[in-house]
Amino acid sequence: MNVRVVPLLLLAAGAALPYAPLADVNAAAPDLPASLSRLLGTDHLGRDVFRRVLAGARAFLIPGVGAAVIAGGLGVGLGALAGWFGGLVEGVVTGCMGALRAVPPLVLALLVMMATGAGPAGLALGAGLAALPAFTEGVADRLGALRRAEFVVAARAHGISDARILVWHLLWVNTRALVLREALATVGQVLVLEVTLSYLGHFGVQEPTPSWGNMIDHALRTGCANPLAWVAPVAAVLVTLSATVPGGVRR
Amino acid sequence: MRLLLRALALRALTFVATTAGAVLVVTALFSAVPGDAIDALPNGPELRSQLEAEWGLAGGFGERLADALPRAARLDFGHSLTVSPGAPVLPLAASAAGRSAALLLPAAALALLAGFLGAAFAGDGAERPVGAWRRLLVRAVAALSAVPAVLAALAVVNGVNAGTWSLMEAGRVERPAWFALPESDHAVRSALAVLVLAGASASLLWMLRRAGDSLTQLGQETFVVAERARGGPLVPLYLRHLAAPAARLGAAQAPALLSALIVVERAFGMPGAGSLFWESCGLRDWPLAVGLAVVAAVTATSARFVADAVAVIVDPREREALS
Repeated sequence: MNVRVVPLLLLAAGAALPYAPLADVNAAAPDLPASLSRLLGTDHLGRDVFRRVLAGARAFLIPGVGAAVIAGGLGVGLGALAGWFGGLVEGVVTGCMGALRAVPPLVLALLVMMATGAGPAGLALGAGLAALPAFTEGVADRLGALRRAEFVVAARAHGISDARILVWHLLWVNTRALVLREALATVGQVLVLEVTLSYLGHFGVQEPTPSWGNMIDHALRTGCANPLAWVAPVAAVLVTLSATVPGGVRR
Repeated sequence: MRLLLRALALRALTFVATTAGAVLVVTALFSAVPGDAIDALPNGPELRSQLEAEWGLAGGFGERLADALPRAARLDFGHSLTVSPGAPVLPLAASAAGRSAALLLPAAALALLAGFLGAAFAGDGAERPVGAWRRLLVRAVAALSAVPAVLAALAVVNGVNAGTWSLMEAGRVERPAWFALPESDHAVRSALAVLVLAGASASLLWMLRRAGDSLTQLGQETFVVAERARGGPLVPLYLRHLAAPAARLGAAQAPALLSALIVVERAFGMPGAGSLFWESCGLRDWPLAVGLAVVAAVTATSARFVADAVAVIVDPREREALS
């Protein structure tokens, strides 16, 4: 298993714990520092920061997995067509991906969210479309390089069908690591989108539902006395990004 | 010459097709958005029947798309409805884009320069070994650039304000002219915005790696090896043959820079296409938002076209590959 998936799995386990945002409000205990009972203290409304950081992971994990599935499913399919057949098919697919890539990712995700609704489904679809060119071009390049490889010629000579060569030998054996890498990068991209939209307002996750983006925005706007109220979600964002998108944002 | 013109014509055709595709995507998505500018007005429900006819907002997705596409092809995006009521969209979008260019172009140039200089300093593309600490230093600095633009902008604005306030309270400094961000319109604010745009989300680490690959590849070319053996000047050779990779890297980061522009302009309170786009989305001024999104897409495809054209002009192998 790719070691970079491990932090995400731990995060998913934490995010699955039950959390009731309204029940967590405690006006009698605002801005408390870290303690044994509240590992990261409380925010301006007396809410447990640690539990909100865990619960806030849902805001990007669920749409992130959705976006990775959408982009991966479509991208592998289109990339396989382009890489295997080449020629005009590759030209058409590359042209469509070029048009999609020309729209800035935030603008594209925003447009899709406005058209379909600003919820996790809209974010997943928007981010998935923004990530689609990277998946498609990565798979197409890999297959384009491998389709004339000696092992492919040998497999054909042994009577193995083109479909089996494409699906098993090329896509499963030689491309799945690339697809997993791109899927992780997509989850990271959704995290960046979610934090950005929460900061900008309107289309992000709205209070009281926790998300790392609205936790940072709320802590900075209210001037929360407990610095962990914004340090913790910022650290969570940076650690998650380093696990999902090593080397910076995808181009 | 014929080969060059043919190659440029092919690239221009690709540019036109890609731009048309991007405009189609943007227009189709906007046509699918439910609700309109009338919803944003306080007395919208009372005025709906009148304004729908006046503003041309009646009709479902198909009708709106059928109306929007031919107008988009003529670069007619109509008039702003709620942000600047009655103002034609194209001049509004163009002037906002001009203000944003003052951030974008320096940021792109800075990111490219930092990437190539960093790669050269770290020893990428050099034959002699360099110290490990040099590589580590450059990569550590570049890894900081993996911070998303939104967090970097917030950190810079809040950090600079808090730090300056502390110094002012301790009596160490007088109140600077640019204090406090982002309210003040000052060169310092613009400079910080350019730095954040260039560094964060433009990903210096990504630029560093790609620049390093380009330097390495160029250093191994036979004509460079021959020139080195002759003892001839390498700098003009490198400058000429790095023009195409640099242009391509710049074009590749254009969409991400345009995305980050929205955040940076909002965080630093700077007027431009990014903050105007966000405002128009919030007020459901779809004609203005479409116009701005189209300007952004055309900017990205134009950057790509310029990069391809530079590659074709500088490198004869690109021309021959297209023939």
